[in-house]
Amino acid sequence: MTLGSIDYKIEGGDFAKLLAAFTKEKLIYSGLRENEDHLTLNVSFEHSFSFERLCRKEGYEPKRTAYHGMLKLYRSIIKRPGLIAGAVLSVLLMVYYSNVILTIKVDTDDPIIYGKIIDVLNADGVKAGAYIPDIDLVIEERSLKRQIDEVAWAGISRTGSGIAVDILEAVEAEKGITVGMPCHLVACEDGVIDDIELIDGQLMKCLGSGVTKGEIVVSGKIVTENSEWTKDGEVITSKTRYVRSIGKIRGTFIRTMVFEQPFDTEEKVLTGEKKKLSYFEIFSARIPLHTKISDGYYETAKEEKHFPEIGDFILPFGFTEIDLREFDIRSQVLDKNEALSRAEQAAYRYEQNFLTPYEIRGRSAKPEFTDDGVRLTVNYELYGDLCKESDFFIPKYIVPDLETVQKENVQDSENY
Amino acid sequence: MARIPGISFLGKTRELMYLQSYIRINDNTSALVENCRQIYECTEVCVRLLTGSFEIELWGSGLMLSSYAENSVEVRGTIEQVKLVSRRNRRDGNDSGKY
Repeated sequence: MTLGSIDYKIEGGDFAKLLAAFTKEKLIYSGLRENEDHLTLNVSFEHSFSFERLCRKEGYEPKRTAYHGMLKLYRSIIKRPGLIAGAVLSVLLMVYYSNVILTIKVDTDDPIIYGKIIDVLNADGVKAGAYIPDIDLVIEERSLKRQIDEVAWAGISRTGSGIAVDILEAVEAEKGITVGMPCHLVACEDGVIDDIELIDGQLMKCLGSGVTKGEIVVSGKIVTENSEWTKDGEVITSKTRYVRSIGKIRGTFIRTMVFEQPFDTEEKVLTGEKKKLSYFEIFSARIPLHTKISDGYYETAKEEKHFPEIGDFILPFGFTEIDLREFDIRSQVLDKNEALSRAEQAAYRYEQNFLTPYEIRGRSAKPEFTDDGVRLTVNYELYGDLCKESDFFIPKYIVPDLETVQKENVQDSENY
Repeated sequence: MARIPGISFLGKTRELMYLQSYIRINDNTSALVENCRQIYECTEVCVRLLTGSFEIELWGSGLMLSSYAENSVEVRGTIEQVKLVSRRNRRDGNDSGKY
């Protein structure tokens, strides 16, 4: 009686004929009891139709008086269509959400790497709401490894209604200990040495002399020669010592920069159209609650998050609203003054970003107008560090701490 | 007094073909009757069944009958008396049985 059973009541006088029919038809029933004017019994739902057919064939009209088991539950549910609709909806939602991404977990503590991974996944369409069977996880793993330098290895696995991204971060190889290694101070600009603060190393250029880019100003290879006279002649003992050049070489140099601004340019213009995006967020899943917006260029004007709080604890679900402003890229023709102004703004931004370590002692700007735009040539006279460290390696065949070379019978002009 | 046959060919055949009436009674709460051919009566106090050789009467209170398998019925309730009437004796008009 898997589907339940039904209590029947059959009215009439003599039931011998009916009972004989039950036995003949091998009917299955229970609780049969004969009273004065009626017969009661219980028949399973599976046999109820054949039972009713049999009763009518014998001239009796059975009446259903009660339902038992699952049948009673079915009848009570049928009277409540909301429950059925809810159950059907739940099943459909379960089927749907078991195949879409709700959460993306990334196994990293670095927020920068996390952001890069999420950006790459979003660009490939792997985001909350994406249909999981359509995603080739192997291709995504390769995409992560190819596009993010910090990721040495990536593995993506499906976890229920989400995906988990496991990564191994690329650890930069140690550059080694440079302190104590020999190095030169090499000029990084063409200029004139104005100030020298030397702690170690052999100065190759004197104060006020000019240097060209790449020239060794302070050498880490210190060679000392000692001359002695013997009966055989002059013996020169040469000692070479390798040190790390330490010091500050400041000087004045000229740097020329060219800033160009074409007359034909593109400008971002707001159209005045505003759109609002609404999302329901639960953990890291973002489920859109809006219809598709029309194609175009949009910028975020405001983003509001409405997450309920209990005390100081913010619950991991809530609504997010993003206000978008539509803009358009329009071509614009600038006049000479406006183009020149923009070129000067570019020069100013360059100074603010790249020339802050230096002292600007002189500045001369020369605008040139062409048919296409303006060309602003700016000459900067800068004062600051003129040299940078340049490591070098001692050849293997040289004794690292001391090298002694004896020259005998040297008769060149330097020995006199 | 009913005549009890010594060795009956028909009786042996019934035994070998499992056509005898098998009655199993659990205390006074239920009785299972196999090889039941017909139900004559099923009231609250009396159930009368017909098997191959006997007409079985069960007396008691609150009796009800169930049939879960072919030719088998189960009587539930408070059974007070079981009466077996041989069909041959019944045809001869003699009432005999066991109480």
